[in-house]
Amino acid sequence: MPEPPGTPFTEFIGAMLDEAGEGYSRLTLTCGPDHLGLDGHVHGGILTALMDSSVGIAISRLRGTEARRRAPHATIEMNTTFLARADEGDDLVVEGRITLSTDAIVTGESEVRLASGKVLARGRLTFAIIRRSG
Amino acid sequence: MRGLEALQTTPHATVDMNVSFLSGAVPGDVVECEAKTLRVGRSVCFAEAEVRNRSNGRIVAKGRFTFAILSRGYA
Repeated sequence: MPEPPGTPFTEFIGAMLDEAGEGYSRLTLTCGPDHLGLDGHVHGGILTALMDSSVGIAISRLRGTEARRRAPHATIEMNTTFLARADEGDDLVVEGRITLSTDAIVTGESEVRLASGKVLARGRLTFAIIRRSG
Repeated sequence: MRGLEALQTTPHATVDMNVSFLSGAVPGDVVECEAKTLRVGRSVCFAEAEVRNRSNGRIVAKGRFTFAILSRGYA
């Protein structure tokens, strides 16, 4: 059963969390008029935000609430390739996975697809585990 | 730089984006973003952008972008 992803910004853009497990998450979004850019297609920032969230959630599920509270993780690097455009009315499916997990750094990858399976964008992300000093 | 007419006949679209996030911003902070083109060719544009936090002067994020200039009839 889809649920709100739990992050204010991700909920603000209208994404729903379809599935999440340790090191994996899947978000969905139906594109509306507020998601469009100047050219009338879905703004790339929507796709990057969803990919960032999908990997962030995958990491949260792997690390657990307590570890995240003690040392939160934050995106420090994101490399994105845009392959095709999305339009109003399209249903986006975004999957995020962890590719490496260490004490200090976690890397992941994400893909945005249409419901038909067509890939729109791919992202590689690096997160830092932020340990407070002292 | 390309002008409104060029934008309508041959729009540009992001094909690659690499961003480093150097620091965070919290509610109340004002951030500013400055973007500049590095090279505008006939089919590809290279650009970079920087987000700064006006509250503390720190760089929040730095990005490098590649845009494709799409020919007419692009679906």
